[in-house]
Amino acid sequence: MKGYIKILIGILLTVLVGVMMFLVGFGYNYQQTMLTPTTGTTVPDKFSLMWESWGIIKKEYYGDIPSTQTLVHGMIKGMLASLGDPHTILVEPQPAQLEQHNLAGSYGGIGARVESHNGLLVLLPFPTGPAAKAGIQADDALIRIDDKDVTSNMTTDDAEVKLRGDIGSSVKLTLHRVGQDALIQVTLQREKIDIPTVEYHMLSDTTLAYIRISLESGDTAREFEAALKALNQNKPTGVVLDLRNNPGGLFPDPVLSVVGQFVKPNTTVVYERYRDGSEKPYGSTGSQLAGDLPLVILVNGGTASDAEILAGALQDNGRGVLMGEKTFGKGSVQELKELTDKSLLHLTIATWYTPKHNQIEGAGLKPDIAMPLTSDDVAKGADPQLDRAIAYLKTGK
Amino acid sequence: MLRSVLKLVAMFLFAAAFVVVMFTSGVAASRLVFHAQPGGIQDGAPSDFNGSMDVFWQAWNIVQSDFYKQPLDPTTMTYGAISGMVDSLGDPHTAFVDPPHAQIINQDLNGSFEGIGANVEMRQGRLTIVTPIRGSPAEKAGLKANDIILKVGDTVIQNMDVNQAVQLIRGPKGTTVHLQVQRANQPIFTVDIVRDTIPIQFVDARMINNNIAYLKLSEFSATAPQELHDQLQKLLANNPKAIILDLRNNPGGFLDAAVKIDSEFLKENSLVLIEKDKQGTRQEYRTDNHGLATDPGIKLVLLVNEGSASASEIVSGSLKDYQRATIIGTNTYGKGSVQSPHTLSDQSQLRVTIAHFFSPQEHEINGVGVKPDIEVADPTDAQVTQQQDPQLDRAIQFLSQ
Repeated sequence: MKGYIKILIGILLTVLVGVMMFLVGFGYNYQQTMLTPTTGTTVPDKFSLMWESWGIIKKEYYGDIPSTQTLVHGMIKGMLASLGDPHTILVEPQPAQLEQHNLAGSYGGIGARVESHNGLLVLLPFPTGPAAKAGIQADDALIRIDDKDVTSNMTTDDAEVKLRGDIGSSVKLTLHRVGQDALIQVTLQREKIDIPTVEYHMLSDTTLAYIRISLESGDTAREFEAALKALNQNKPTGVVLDLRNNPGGLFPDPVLSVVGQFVKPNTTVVYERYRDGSEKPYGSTGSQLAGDLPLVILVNGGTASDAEILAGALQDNGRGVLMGEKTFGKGSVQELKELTDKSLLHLTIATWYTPKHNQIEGAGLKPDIAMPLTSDDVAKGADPQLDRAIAYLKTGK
Repeated sequence: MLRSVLKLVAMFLFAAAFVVVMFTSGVAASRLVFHAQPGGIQDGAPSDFNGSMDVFWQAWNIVQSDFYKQPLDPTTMTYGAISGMVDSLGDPHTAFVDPPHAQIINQDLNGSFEGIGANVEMRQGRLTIVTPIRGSPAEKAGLKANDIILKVGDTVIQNMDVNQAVQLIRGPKGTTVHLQVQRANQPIFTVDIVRDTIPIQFVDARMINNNIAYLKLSEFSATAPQELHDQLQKLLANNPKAIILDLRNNPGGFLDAAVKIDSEFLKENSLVLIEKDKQGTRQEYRTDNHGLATDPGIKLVLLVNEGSASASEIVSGSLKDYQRATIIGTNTYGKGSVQSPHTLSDQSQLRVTIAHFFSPQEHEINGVGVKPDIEVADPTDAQVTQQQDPQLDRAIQFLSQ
């Protein structure tokens, strides 16, 4: 009996393993042939024009024809450009050298983000750094970088790569400022952009706390909490949160945490809306360290992206007063997908809506109290926006 | 001991082989049912692109499934892809033009077009009005020389090919175009202009000081040679001692028109230009025998500047090589390439650079241009406002010596 059972079990196991491996092989081939990204695509009829054009070019074009990879990347870029969304772009695999630089953190920059605005590539300078020092303003349009024209098919990524370089090296920029006829030329020296993202102090002769967030990095949540803890020692009676020229950065954590210092946990911060109309809400985290302290948030045209989410959340929840100038209006989410040849597709998959369902993308946030900052003010070293914030917190209006 | 080990090894190998065999038969059986598409997706790609199109369709599919704005138009995306492929060649003059815009280009050089009637050029990356055409909708709407067109509809114009920009402004007669304009010392304003048929006069002719025939040619259109011939004939009736042919800001046009106009000033069968294609094949173009002013006794001055391109450079290059004319002004543009327009099967157009041309003495024009005999800078903004023309003045001065 024993022998019989042993053989039976042996056969059963063998059959089991055999069938399993057969099914695995079956499924593997199915996946490879039917589920790979290119199968099941409907090629539009018009696509034959591509090959018609190619035939003519191959036969007649006078110049040198680049590699097939360059041509196909050109096709992808052109196809993406036709979608009309400046943040949906193809980023080709970076040359090894630049990659190394980025990883080692040894590259320098000018301290500004590049954004797309009304079809132009514009600079969003950080509050400190070479760009701010040189007087570059938010929305200054890039015309030339080192005497090379910035063309209309250059992406924000292309421009940002050109602006980076060795620390200490210089770059010449030709810019167009709205309202000025003559183009502005400025030469900057690249620095290691390693600024702490949160800066704070008590405002002199007041019991008011001032905190500036320059951009949203991985350290921001921690730095912001530390700032509040330190400021709370002085028992402030109000807070000025300065988000001017903050171009954004990481999402969602820094934003959810910072908002959470002002409101109770899980208060709606922003909605992410996808193409099928569905919305994903994000709720605040954080420790409400700022309690109910009266709050003024300073914003301007250089306040973009995550910084707009931050400001919008505080405004729509009635937690703080927005003061200054209309914000930039970048409120879209890009997904990054690596293609089979290692190039990166940046694709806009959602846009952001404030808690009261106002779209940020293309619109920006309107301040509750408008207060401009002119170049005259800057030249005199005056800050009427900050003054107004202080006045508001002192008087309540 | 060894026997047990060997037995174990044998059993292990047998099991492994069994697993592999079963897996492979699974794959094979699956293959009978599901066929892998040979070479990837069936998109009609020629062998040059074998294996290279996978990444394109991967991107296409990701867009179709994830992009936040739906629905998408595959035709627009296809035209975009073709444009992108053509752009990647790196030649600004080789371009793909979709059917509605192709129609506009075809009208252009044939003597009239539908638009607003503003002569424009790119200056420092921005679209600037050189002059509104007399009586045109642009002039009636109050547009002036040196106005900068910032936006056409929703499109910002910056560092664009001027023809691309013009395509945006032109459109069917009766339709409206919305422009955002910047004028010196004024806040930015917007203007809506209704397009009309603009008959173009390409030649502006008059006598100067009763003894110099002055002809300004704005473009080498199909109708320009006849127009120039007629105007020249009229002026020659006054027995001028010299002719000034003004090609400043003339961006070019038809090669044939350049040869015909050259024929007015050079004797029959003179070599005008040499065209060389990718294979090095030479084609020579020569003058005909209908010239009105081929006698070198009538002095000829050519006015050129950096806005004189292509066909203008054919004329100035050849007249300079023969020393038939004295060239006054600034170095010309340096566009010495010939484009061949192809109409594709859906009426879209592919303009391809097929050759470079060289002056009769085989001077390269592309990237170099034609250097003037007498250098005179373009008028400054102040001089333009006061309607002063130092280049023309210098020409007149030269001719009275």
